[in-house]
Amino acid sequence: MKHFRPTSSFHRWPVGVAFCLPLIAGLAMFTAFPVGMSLYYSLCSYPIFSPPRLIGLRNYQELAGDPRFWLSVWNTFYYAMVAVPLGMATGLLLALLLNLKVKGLAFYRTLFFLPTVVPLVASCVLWNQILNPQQGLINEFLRFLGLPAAWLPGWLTSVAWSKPALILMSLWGCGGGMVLYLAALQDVPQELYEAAALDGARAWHRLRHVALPMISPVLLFTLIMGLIGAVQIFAQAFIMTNGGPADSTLFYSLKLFNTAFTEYRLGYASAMAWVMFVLILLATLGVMKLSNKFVYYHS
Amino acid sequence: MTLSSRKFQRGVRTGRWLLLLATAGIAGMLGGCGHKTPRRGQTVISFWEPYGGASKTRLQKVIDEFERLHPNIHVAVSYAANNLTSSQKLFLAIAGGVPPDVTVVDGQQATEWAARGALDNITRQVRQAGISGRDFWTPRWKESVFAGRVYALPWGADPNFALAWNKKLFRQAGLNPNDPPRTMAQLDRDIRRLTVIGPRGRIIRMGLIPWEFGSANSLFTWAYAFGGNFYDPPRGNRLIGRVTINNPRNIEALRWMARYAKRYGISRVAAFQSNFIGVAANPFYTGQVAMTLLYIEQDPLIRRYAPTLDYGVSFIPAGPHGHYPTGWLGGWSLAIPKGSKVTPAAFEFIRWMCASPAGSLAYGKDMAMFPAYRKSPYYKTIRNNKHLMVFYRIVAQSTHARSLMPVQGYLMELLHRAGQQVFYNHRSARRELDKINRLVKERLAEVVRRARNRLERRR
Repeated sequence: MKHFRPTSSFHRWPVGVAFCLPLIAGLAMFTAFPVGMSLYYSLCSYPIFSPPRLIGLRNYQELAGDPRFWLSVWNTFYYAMVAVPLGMATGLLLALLLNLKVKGLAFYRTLFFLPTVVPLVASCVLWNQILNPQQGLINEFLRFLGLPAAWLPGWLTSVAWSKPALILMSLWGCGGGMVLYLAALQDVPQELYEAAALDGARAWHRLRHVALPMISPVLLFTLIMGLIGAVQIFAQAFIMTNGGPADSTLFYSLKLFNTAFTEYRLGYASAMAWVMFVLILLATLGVMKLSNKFVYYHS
Repeated sequence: MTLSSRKFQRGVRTGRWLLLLATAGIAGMLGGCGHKTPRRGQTVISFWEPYGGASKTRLQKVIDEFERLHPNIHVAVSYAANNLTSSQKLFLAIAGGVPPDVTVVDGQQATEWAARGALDNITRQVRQAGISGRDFWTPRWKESVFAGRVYALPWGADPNFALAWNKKLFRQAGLNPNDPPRTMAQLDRDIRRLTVIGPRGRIIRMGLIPWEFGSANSLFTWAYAFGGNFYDPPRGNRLIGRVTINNPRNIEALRWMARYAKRYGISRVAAFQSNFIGVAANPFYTGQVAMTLLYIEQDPLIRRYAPTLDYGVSFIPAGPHGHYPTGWLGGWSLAIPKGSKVTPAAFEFIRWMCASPAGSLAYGKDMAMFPAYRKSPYYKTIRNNKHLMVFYRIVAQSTHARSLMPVQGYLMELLHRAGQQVFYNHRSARRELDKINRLVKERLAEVVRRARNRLERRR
């Protein structure tokens, strides 16, 4: 049988490039070009229907003095700082419970993972009902516990409770992290636990000094991905609150979208997108830098 | 690992067949989606509309009638969402230079889109067709004109709003079921008597929710009822008018709404409102709201979902400086986006839909809405319908649209925010409307400056 045997790497590379070409072309057209253009538009006044006009750094200067921009930064920061650690802690707790070799592990794993595959719009409709202050599941439960009516949270209808409501909703999707933590926990060599137990380590110590360091690369990964996702939160606010009540859920991406398509200011919105990119980059670099202190790569 | 060239070629051939099969499959699926294909010799016009569900089916009936009367034209209909402040798909299509031939535009958006250069000037075609402003209800026509040029034709005329009241609940509260409130003082009295608060402060029934249609639409409604105004449009070919958002009557209306937000607790009312999801669960149909602002599409819905509801329809009350009956007109218009040629077929479609007896009759009958064409024979068909005649009087007597400012989307957004700040954070109504007045003036000056430059360049 005759084989296709390229004689040298020189002959081989065009074939390789040819195979990669669709991907390269796609990336260039649909990622690199729009990214580059958005950087250019961020330096322009661009009201969609008229051609963009260069105005230098004026969009960035205006951002610095825009109180609603800073409000959206604060709302997003609040959400990310609470939702990400809480989501990780909940996912980890579930993973630790499932790691106790419980019966029906596959069932529970599927059960907790299931919410992550529910479409976002369906989740929003469902949570709108769960968070309903008058007849939602949560407040009915709190009422059952005997909480006075005045203390019941207004959730999405209250300025003070709207962000906590969305954070609570985000915990519903902690099954994605849980699966990763569970896989990492099951990868921890049993002899490490046994050695620690021989040295007198109790459950808490085994968790603190054996399990957590061993799964720390996975924790780092979920922390970074969680931060990126949280900073970009959009759909929940767009569908459930439209930024309200009284701008309490005006998140960064929602403000960006409204700037582009309600106020017709594509240049200003592009500047916001680049500021967001820089913020996410700085946060990721900060976490990576800190990771030297808490991540253990046992390999 | 190396690959046998024969196997490789066989793989390529198989892949090619699979690709062909997949393409044919997708084409087949698309072909089977219910879209009619144009016949040979027909002119095809693309038409983007914002309807879904049952409204879409009703719209198709109107278009079928157009195609029956115009056998040489085929209308290819596509959906493009429009939330009244934005139409993302259309904006991107215009910016990308691939817009549809005809689009639906909300009346309040038309002047803004025209000022921003998103719509084509159709003044010449309108004149040649013998169409003039007198053919339409005045506020709707004014929304279609910018700088003395026509950019859209009004299609529908939505009389916003009538007042509907539940007669049974009026009787239970000791009120005369045949005497709806006509003044704001009577309305205040009735709301107090009809609202029922249960144990632990839970709202059982609201007399009326003054911000039922969101802060912005509700503020337009009540401000006009109080005798307010938002904008004095420019006369003739001038481009900029006088912004009057902080008109004392508008402030009075916002304060009136805020009093109810405070009295019943805005969060409690919002919690009460969030119980009702979907058309059928409207709290007025179920007796949990005793009075409501009624829009024209709702009357048949009440007959469908609450056939035993004993209710009346009248005009919304007016303040001491307002006119009774009062109201404002909304409604969709049809326009040709920038980048599309104003072809005879596209204009004929707009003309027939908006400014012909047959088209306006089809719109009224099939869509169950009022046409903006005031001479429409549809209006002769509703003379015996008591409720529709209330709406007819609102249409015939309204002098307002939302506002004729070419920054309407921005204004709606700001009014919404102002309402939220006043209701939730107890900010001063005067200060909020003063702030909006300043912001809108600045934005208006910017938009008009750009529009002026563009119009001068064309000249």
